[in-house]
Amino acid sequence: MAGWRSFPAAVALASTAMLTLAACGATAGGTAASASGSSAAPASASASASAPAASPQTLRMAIPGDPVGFDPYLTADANTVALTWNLYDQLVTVDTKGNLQPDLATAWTASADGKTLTFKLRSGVSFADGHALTSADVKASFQRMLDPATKDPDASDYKVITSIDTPDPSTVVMNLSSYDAALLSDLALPFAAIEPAGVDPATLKNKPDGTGPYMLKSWTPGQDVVLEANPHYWQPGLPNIPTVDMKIVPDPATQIADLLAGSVDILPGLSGQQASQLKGQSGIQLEQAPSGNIQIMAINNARAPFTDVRVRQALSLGVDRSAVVQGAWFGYATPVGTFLPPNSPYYAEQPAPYDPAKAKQLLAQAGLPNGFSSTLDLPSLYPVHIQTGQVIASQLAQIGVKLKLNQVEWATWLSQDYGKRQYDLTIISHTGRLDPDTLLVRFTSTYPYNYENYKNTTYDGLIAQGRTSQDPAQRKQIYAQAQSILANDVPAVFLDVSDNVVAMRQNVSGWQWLPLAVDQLAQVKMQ
Amino acid sequence: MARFAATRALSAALTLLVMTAVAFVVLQVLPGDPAILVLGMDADPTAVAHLRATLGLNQPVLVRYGLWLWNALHGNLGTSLQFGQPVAALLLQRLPLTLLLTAMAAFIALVIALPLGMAAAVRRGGLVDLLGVAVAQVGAAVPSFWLAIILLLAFAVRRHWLPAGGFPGWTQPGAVISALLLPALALGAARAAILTRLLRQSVSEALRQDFVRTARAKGVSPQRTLWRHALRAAAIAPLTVFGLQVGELLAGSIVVENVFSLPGLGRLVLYAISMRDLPTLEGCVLLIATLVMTANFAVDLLYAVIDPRIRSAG
Amino acid sequence: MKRATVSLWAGGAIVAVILFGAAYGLSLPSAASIAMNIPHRLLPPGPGHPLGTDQFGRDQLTRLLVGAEASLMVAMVATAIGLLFGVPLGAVAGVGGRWRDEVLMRLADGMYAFPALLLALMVVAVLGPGLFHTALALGIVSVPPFARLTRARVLELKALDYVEAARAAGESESGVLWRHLLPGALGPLLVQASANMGGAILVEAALSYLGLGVQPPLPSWGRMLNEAQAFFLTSPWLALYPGIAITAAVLGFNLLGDGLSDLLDRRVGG
Repeated sequence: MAGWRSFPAAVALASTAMLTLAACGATAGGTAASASGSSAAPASASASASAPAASPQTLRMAIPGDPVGFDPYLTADANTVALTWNLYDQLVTVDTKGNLQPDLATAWTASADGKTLTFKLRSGVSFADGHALTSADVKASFQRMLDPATKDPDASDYKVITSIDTPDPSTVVMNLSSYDAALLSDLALPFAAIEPAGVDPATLKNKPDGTGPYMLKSWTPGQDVVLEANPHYWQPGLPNIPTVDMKIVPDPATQIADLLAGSVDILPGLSGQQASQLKGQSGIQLEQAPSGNIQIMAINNARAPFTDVRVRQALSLGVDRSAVVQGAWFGYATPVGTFLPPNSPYYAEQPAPYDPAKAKQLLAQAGLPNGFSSTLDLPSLYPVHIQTGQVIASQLAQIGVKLKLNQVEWATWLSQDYGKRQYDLTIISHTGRLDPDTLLVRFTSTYPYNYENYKNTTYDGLIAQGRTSQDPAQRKQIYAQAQSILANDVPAVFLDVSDNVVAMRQNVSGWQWLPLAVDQLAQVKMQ
Repeated sequence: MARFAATRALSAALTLLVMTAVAFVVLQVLPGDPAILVLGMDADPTAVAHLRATLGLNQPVLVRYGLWLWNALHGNLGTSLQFGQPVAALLLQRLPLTLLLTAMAAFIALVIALPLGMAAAVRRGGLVDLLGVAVAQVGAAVPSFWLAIILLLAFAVRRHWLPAGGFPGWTQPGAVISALLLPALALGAARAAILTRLLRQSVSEALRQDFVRTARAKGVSPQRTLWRHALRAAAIAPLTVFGLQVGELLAGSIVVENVFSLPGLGRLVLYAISMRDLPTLEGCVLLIATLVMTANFAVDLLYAVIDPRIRSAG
Repeated sequence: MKRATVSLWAGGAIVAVILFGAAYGLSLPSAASIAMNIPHRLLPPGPGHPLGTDQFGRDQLTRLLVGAEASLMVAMVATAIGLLFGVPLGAVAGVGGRWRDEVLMRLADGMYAFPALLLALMVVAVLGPGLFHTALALGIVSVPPFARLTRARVLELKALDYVEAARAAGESESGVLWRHLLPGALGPLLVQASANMGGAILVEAALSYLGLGVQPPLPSWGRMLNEAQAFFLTSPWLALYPGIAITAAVLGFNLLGDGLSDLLDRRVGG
């Protein structure tokens, strides 16, 4: 899912990663690259006549935009989800390596046919309003989520759940219409949060009630969102910091200035551009980890000349991904040639060479020896796509492909490019969740948002097979095959996977990277 | 006087009708679906269709505009599509900041322009005059958003004297003032320039007029002459401009609030346009146009008070 | 009197320099302003790049010169649209009966009550960003001032003896308009046109700064400021020169307008 956020510089911020490979070893949680006190920074760290120095009781954070509300079933907005993650729990969760971990459920078992899942609930868990969690809350939550009247945009991910039984207050039994390989990891996503039974949905948008480490104290649109520690939270000793004040600061440069001036303690979701500015500033530490955020140049496969696979291959060969990584991401990204991020256990590396000579040759074979002209749409909400577009346009000009850059507003992009599929080429990022299916299914011909108009029955068959296979080894093989098809057919030019970067003042520590688009705040500490 | 007020009120109402209709049509013509903006990229198409129906987006434009107008006349501005809060509440939340910012900018403009303009008028051709003219010309030419960036760089990034952006909340009045100081300065500079220029011109004209000469001949001190007589006579022209400036200040606040990440009306307008949040945009347009026209109206009335000749001409 | 000449000359000189710069920008090969050199990015001003380079290693001086073209083009087209539609509307309102006058002027007042930037913003939102659309938006915004000015001047002149005399002598309405009224309005219109150029450059810069004006990779001063803002920590000079260019251009046209206005006053008054 490409988290969209209602502010500039957003894609870089969509801090999501897919399942991190356990083999990544000790550093899987994030390569700490703290830097401090370099010569480049004469600006003293002496903070600030600006804001009154907040007590260490409050973590001051800058977020780029307002949430769209706090109802976990009524949003797909990455910005909102990053925040609601701290208010709610799910049945299961993930650790920094992407392995499933107990959350509200302490244990779970699957039947042999994979069509029944039984969860044992944790005892002693209470909602923020004080009442205890029982299996009735879990049942009511999924009922509300799957009720078409709720209009949950993510409900289709959970549609295999046909009914839920509650044999006793601490046992939940899910009955499934068929085995779904992605279901268990989907249950760890913030979209599967557990709400109290009998809650009035109308109040959830502004008055959330969850079992998470924090609860909402106030939301003033455009100004700030203030979280307070949930006194009933079930994990002893957490959260570390009693209050989190999330200031809404949309401008990337202002965010940086606020952090340097000391009116903000932590800045999650930095763009490469921002990170390059903060690197080496005294009193500031940067931490980074690869995300699951894949930038692509989508191609409208139904429009000439892109109906010809040789033209699409030429585009891929004509793009120097390392120049994009430097020019647009300032080095905070990794080139890829397929539609899964390298930290996914299902990633199968595909070559992505820069070979303009071969690209020209392919264009000549396709009957376009002098190249052609086309339009590249760039969603103006995301500066990084606009920068990438400029780099790509200058490179493709060298193989005779003349691109007219066309900035489109986000609303326009969503309806024209994404919805009506009226475009030639466009640049966008897509973000994976835990299961590889969520990304790869996008290129199946029946997917509602297959805006590339890509059609390949072999590929469709592989993805359908992967979704129902119960054997991880077999799935791995299936998805490797699917990725090699994508690399050869080039339904889109796969560009790069960006890094997640967080900047903190020196007295902040304990940041954890989860392979989800969330800001995990419970463990953050301040001195 | 009553007729004068009545014509003005009628024309104001007409203007409001036209402006809100224009805003309605603009969002109608714009590509983009508020429903998918609310639900996001992965939204199930059926969920999007459901939401469209709930929001009433499937009805004809005229019906929707009529409904909006009817509700607005009854004090109901609807609910924001993006925030899920009543538009009136949103506007009330944002208005104080923009008003305070505008007032501070106007105050700064006055503090700069009043002494400079007067002094320049009294000593025409002198050094102060030259300074006044230079300030007026350069100040009017500097883009306020650039000035905002430069001020931000100098006073918030290089020296951490003032905050770079964001809003501390109304519970901390001192912090509010310091958060608004740089934006108000950026916004007020251009206004100061235009006011200086007008004051210089109108005061020097007034000084040339007979009654000031008479007053001086009667032995009233030059200082008192200047302040009492000249200022009143000269008040009219800048007053008019001040009325028009409210619109300019509000427009300027759109960009400046953006630079400093301030949650005011200006940023709400931009947000409403980009997110196709029709009820919110309509509310903003209504409020801004009303503010501008009220200011103009008040200036016209003041005008008539200062200069009785206008009343009969009205 | 002396000041009029100073304004005129100073304004004229600044405008001439900017026109020359834009012309030089036009003479450069089209790729010069967009040629990337990423290893040489964010260089401070120095030999080879007098004003430094931006984040793609593009030469700032070249982009500034080519950007002048965009600013001037937008301002000229906008002013032309303002004249082309504003003058006839104002004339019709001034010459025509009370009713026509009332309707047209209320409409113009209504547009006046709405900040120009906000109106331009909405027009660009509908039409989509880009050089021509920005010019069109600013043109629409420019119509009311020209209409008001023309109307005021026409009403003023209509009451003058020689116009009354011409009408009494049986000259047609349109004859009076063309031969007597519009020529009389020419001076003030010229002044307004110069001021409008300055105003349009300012609003264009604001729109481009907000990302709605001129499109990348083409440079425009407002857009350059937009891009520079992200680097104000390490490369503050990037935000300096485009701002100076905008200020100078607006200053030039304003001074030119003032000088012209003073010149006219003197001629009329003397």
